Amino acid sequence: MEQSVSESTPGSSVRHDFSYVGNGITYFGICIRTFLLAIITIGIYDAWGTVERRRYMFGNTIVAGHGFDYHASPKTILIGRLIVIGGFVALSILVQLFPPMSFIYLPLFVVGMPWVINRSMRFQLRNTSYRNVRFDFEGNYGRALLVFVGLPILIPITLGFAYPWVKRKMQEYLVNNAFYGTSKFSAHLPIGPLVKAYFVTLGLMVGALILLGILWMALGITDALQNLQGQSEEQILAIMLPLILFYILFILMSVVAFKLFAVVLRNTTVNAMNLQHGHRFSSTIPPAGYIWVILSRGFLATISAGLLIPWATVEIHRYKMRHMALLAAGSLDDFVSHHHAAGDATGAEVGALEGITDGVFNVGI
Amino acid sequence: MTSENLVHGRLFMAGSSRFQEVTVRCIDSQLFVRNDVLRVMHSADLRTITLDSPVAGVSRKLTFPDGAVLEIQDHMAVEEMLALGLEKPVRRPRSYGLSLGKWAILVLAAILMPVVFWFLYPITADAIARALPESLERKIADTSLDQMDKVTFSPSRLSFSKKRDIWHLFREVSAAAEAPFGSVKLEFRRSEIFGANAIALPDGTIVMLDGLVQLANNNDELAGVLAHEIGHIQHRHALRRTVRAAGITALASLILGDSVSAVEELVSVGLGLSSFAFSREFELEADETAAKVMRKMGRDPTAMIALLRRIQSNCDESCEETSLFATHPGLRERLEALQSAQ
Repeated sequence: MEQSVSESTPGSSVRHDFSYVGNGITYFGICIRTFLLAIITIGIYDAWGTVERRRYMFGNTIVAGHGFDYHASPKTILIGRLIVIGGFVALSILVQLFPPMSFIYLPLFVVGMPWVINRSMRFQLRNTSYRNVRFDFEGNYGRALLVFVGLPILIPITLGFAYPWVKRKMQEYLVNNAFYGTSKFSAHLPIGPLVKAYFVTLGLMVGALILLGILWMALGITDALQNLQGQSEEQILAIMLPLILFYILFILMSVVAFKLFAVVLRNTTVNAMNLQHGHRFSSTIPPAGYIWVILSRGFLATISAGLLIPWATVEIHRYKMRHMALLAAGSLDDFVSHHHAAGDATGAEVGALEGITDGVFNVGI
Repeated sequence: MTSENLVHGRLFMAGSSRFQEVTVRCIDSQLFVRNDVLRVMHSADLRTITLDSPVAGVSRKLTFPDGAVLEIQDHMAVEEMLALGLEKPVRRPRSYGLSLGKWAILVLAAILMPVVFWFLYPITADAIARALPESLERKIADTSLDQMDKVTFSPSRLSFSKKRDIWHLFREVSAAAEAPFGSVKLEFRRSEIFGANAIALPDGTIVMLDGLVQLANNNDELAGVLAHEIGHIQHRHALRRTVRAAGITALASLILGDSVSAVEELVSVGLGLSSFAFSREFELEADETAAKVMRKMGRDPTAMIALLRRIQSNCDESCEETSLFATHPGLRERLEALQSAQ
């Protein structure tokens, strides 16, 4: 395995670039095969499929000559899913039998969310390893409740302006409670880039809305919609076409705006991230290039009726990894596992609640 | 037996990120791991080693009983070593892709599965529904009538004599349907939203709405509607619908897992269509019962269709045809079913 190592001056750290060496065709094959098997087994196989897909993506993500490993047991994932599905079905039956019970959704959500985030972060990280050493996550219920349920209340109160601060707190919570073996991750995010990205995003959204408003008037959609009754099918189609176009444009603009903030958040988080013993990270994804990758690949994936989604996933992941690096302060030999990995380090304790907050951990790989 | 080729790998001691480049050789069923000066670093019986399943392009991991991990990039070399040591045939790892024949089988099975499912699922779900106690249905109905009284129903404005006539009719129909005393009840309500309609609640309550009674021209039409609603109750349609919907939702989340959004959309459209299909199936079942009961009373089983046509006077052809997106079959299909039902 070739190593992409280049010396860099500050603090005599060694720069190891991340790279993704998997290819779209192989991943496509894995996705199609696992999906077909999931259909045949009424979904049961998807637990195995999920593990295989993730092992392929992780294993082909390389830094300093080593890939990442994913160790989750498909059975654990299956049991977790069955519990979650059983819970939802039981809850919906309960609410159907006793409609007043529908008020329990909100408290259940508030009480359950921090727990779900902590358990699922722990499950994902404990089941991820690099160079034979597993990651870990030690959450704190009260802290997660504050950060993920409490702080977001500020967003509507401040008319949205608290958004970058709240996002910063969330990212810091996720990073500061993560471990690689016994070594702790830490991050203190600068607020400047986030505020700037927030206002650019906001500006884009407002600009897009004004533009769309003008378009709405120009196309005369309001009038057209009022005269919909008693029109022939061709006429209705002629009215619906600009409306669909309008809808697509709106979706595109929202995607651009949200992805812009997301990519700045990712860069800022990774650049602020420290691993005990002085290791640092760098992420320099160019926002414009990233949005182009998302839109172009997303477009092809959409017009292929979803067939190209595995390929698009690979392309987007590759692009992210191409702009990420580990700035190692010395040797990577001295990390030690939390628990001595004797065969079954997965342990019975790992959360059964896999899958719910997959999206939460978008920092590492 | 001894493997001829040296296999290269990386050896990690338990729980450490430090590794050594090693060569591996299998003699009989014993695995020997040597470092670059050929000193034996580790050895173990092949049968005590746990091996992860292969994923294309990702190095295989052999875990020793003491927790040390050996990573080998060359999958075929691993397979050959295992085959030699454990004296079993060399197997090509599945993750390198399937043969054309296996792909064909997989695709065919995946196409066939929904078809099998389409026939087996209703049977299974109905069996579960039938096993549930009737008190459960009564509980659903109690709350649902209360809710609807609050939200949409208002008291009926029908005259006393009109109500009495329909009561008599109802008693006649329920006797013909052999519905045990108390298993079906009749209520009168008025509703702006539902307009001309009749509703069967799971506990056996049939709610007749004023709009429907006013549109009916004769007793045969009303009797047909009552018999149809009694059919819904006797077949426990409300509970069966709930169980089928719950099962479909659960299965959908199981199949989809963390699948991507476009597939999700596709599957949810398919599931939406299945709920319409289930509903049409129940309507035809209720119609069948109604036709039997009406014939037994010597009344016209197709009279109901005339009433339905009057209700839906605003739509012409579209109500006659059966649509994939409708809860009720087309009127033409229902008429034919009513005529042919024995």
